[in-house]
Amino acid sequence: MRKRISIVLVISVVTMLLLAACGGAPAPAAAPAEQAAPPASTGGKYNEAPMLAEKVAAGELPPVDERLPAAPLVIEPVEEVGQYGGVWRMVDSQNDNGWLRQTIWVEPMLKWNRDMSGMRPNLLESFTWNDDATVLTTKFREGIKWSDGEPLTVDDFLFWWNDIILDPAAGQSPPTGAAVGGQPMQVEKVDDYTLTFTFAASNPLFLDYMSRGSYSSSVYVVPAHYLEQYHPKYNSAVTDMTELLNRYNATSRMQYADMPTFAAWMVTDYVPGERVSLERNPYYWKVDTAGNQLPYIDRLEVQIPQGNAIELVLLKALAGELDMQTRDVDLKDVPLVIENADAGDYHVVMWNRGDYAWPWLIPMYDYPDEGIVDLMYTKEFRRALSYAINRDQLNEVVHLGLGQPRQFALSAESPEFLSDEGKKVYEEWSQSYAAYDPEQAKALLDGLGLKDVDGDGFRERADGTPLELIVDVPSDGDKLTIDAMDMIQQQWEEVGLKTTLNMAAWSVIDQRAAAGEIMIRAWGSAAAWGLISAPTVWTPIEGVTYSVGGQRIGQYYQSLGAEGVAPRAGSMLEKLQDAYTDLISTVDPAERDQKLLDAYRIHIDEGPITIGTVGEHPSPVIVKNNVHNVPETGIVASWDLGFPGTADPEQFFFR
Amino acid sequence: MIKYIVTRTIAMIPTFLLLTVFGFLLIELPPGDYVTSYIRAQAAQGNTSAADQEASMRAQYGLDQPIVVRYGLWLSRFVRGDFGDSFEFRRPATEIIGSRLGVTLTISICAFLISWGIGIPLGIYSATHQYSRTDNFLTTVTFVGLGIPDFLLGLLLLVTVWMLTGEVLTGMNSSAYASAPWSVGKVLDFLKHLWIPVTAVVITGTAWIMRVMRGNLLDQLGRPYVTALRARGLPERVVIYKHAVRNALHPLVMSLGQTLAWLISGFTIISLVLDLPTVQSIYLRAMLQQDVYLGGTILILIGVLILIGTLLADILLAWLDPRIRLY
Repeated sequence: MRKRISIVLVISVVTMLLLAACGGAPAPAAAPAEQAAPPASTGGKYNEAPMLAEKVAAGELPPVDERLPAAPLVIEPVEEVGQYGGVWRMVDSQNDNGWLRQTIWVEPMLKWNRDMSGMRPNLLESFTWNDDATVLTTKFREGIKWSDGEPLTVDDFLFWWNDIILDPAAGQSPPTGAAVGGQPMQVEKVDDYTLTFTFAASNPLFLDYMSRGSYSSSVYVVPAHYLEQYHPKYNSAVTDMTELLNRYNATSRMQYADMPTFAAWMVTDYVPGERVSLERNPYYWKVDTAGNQLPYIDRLEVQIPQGNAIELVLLKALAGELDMQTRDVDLKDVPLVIENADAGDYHVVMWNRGDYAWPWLIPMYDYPDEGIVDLMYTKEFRRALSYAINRDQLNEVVHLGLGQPRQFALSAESPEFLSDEGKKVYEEWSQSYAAYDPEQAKALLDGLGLKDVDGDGFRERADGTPLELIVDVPSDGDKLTIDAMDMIQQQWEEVGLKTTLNMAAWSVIDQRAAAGEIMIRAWGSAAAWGLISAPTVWTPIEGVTYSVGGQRIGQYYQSLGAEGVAPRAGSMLEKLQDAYTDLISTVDPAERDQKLLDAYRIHIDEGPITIGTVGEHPSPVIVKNNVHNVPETGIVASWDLGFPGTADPEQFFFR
Repeated sequence: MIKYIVTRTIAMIPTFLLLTVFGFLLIELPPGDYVTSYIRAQAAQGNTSAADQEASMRAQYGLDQPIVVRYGLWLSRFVRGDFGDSFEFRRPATEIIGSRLGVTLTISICAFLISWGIGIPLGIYSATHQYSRTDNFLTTVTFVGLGIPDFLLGLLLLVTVWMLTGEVLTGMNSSAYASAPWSVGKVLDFLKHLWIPVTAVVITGTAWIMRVMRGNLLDQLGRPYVTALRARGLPERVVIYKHAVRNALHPLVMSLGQTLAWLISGFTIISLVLDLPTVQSIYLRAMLQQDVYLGGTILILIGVLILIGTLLADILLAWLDPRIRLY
């Protein structure tokens, strides 16, 4: 018996040793860090990375001077001319590689300056408008090549327009700016590098629309020579557009490593939901001021998290395993991240989120209860809602004091706010009705006849029927919004407004918004920028779920009155829509800015029309100490501005 | 015995059909579909023009058909071995599952073998030495093991290793090896990552198996037939190993039926927490995205494994215990 048992124990011990064997493997020597290298001299006009020089020497690539355009775009480095080499490790939490796209695919016709002071030429070398902004002539940069060495010409843009957008089989419609008053633009080829655009009416914002983030002209210019094989028109063996659209859609394009690109890095390996590996594009068409072909960094290793990105980014950052990470660093983790900066050999650069509110409260003016809609259209009621919110307390408790308590107003960096008058309008708007003043809130509500008649501590409507505010709050993901809404609920109830939070999944709330079933919607972090980036948050012009006043009011404008719900005649919503109509056809930029400020004044005079809480959060960016040329400023919340791509990642380097 | 197996196999077919119906319904149940969530994600990034593609995308993915038609198409292709393409990753669902099966099975089989290998002998020892000092010690340890969720153990191990060595062992490979071809270095790197999830799963798994084994064996040891065997003077090891342990194994054999499916559906949370590229994590993601064919294929795979596992367990049990064959 005793002997038997000891055999049992031996078996256990052996199994435990097996376990140890599974885990106790000796740590391998750290993979050798790739050394930053000086450029290889080519004997030609331009220099190139050593890894490409090898390929040239082996006859696999033409010399760098032949790969570059005759006049490549010169990028001024942020700090200094860099060195070649290195692997950039980052985490992209987006399902569709969104943040990787925002990093490497921001190559539009024009590109924002790094400080957002205006736009600079990128794909386009130059452009000219006629006087009333109906005809635009654009000159594409000559000699750019796709990553497979084929020349990039205007035919690649025309393929997108004629064979994808205008081909009914593809089921696409012209994007914002490409159609005016329902009329698609006319595009004419002058020569291989020149296009003429003709619009049905003035369309001065066309190039701004075409240059947004990583999803506008950056992806509209497609490799026609490659995509033709998937188009029924060019390949009779193909019957439908599915394969073409898979490669065209920006969100799935990266999965096709064989598709040529004109970005600085090209995909070499795509493992679904796990990681993306990229390598420098040998034909990239930009050089630094010393004539070195960009990018400096050899490769990118992008990891896609299986679970929560914020935890993974935090751990990896602390361990120094991320070289530069723009996103998914939570504000609440900033103290911890800074504390461990020396151990992880990194530093934290504070960029700006550029958000106007987090959360943002959208009163809906298309709610099926007329009594509620009456109240929504009454500015005193909205002011009472705004005055009752203690934004300082919200900021301290929920945002660790890192945000700015403020009213809904667009980003201070937006160009129209840069003039003296603009600054004044911004100041006034962002502080309007934002002070915490529960007494005034109560007085305003009393003035509207909203009094507590049945003694339950909550106000009833003027006709004595119950009044209850129902706020739809997304239950998935954004914990900060939920915490903030708990406080706002309490603060509204303190002034006698019964408030119910309707927690639901985003998809459910979106459906409710489309059907007009929402009274007030709480949205998470939100950013917008004048006329270019999501203008529908300040003027209801699009039938989207975040349209100010309600999706159906925006839809009414967008469908020219065919669908949706009209704003009340003479109301501020109607004034805003009219102002927008006038604005987008105003050709002179100075006049347009002036009109834009006038439109914003509607928000001040009759505001708040939509309610802000706390905004302008800093956005921590983690940068390894050996990574250089990362600018100190950036605005990340509005994707339209294209960060971090706008910071020119091709000139980041390791030393 | 043959008849028993045949009837059991035939009975699986209606179960399988029901499984596909409920599986498909479950995935379709949340409001909206893949295109809705795609457009929302795009709009959140400011790309509002994606909304214009709504109709064409639905047609592209076949989502414009009524649900019954889609189910029929799905099932008919399913039977022919075509499990459909993932919406999100434009490639066959089987390819994505296949690429993750290796890692998943390595972890789960390792954990399974170790926890059963340790759990059963320790359970036997514990039962035959009831209330001894060792038994009390093992009982305490197993209660701790049962009480702590495996993902918490995994996290604790992860953070401890980070504090000791400065390395974060998430995933199955460090980034230096992630895209490298397999080599000795990569295997060692893989093993270095493997032990954390395996240990975490083993500790909880072993505790459970030990408790079950101990309880069952004690139950059997108190039975009259054991007393009768002892009274007839059989050696103790024959009494325990040939008779009592064999009977005590029944519940564990039954649970083997579930284990087959557990191999690809267990430890989901630990996969997310430790960032393991397993079938479980892509399954959750497919469900959240309403990526119907990918999620559906995994769901059916799990269901089929449960069916097969139950069948195997039944056969094994019938072989182990002749009384079962009578039914």
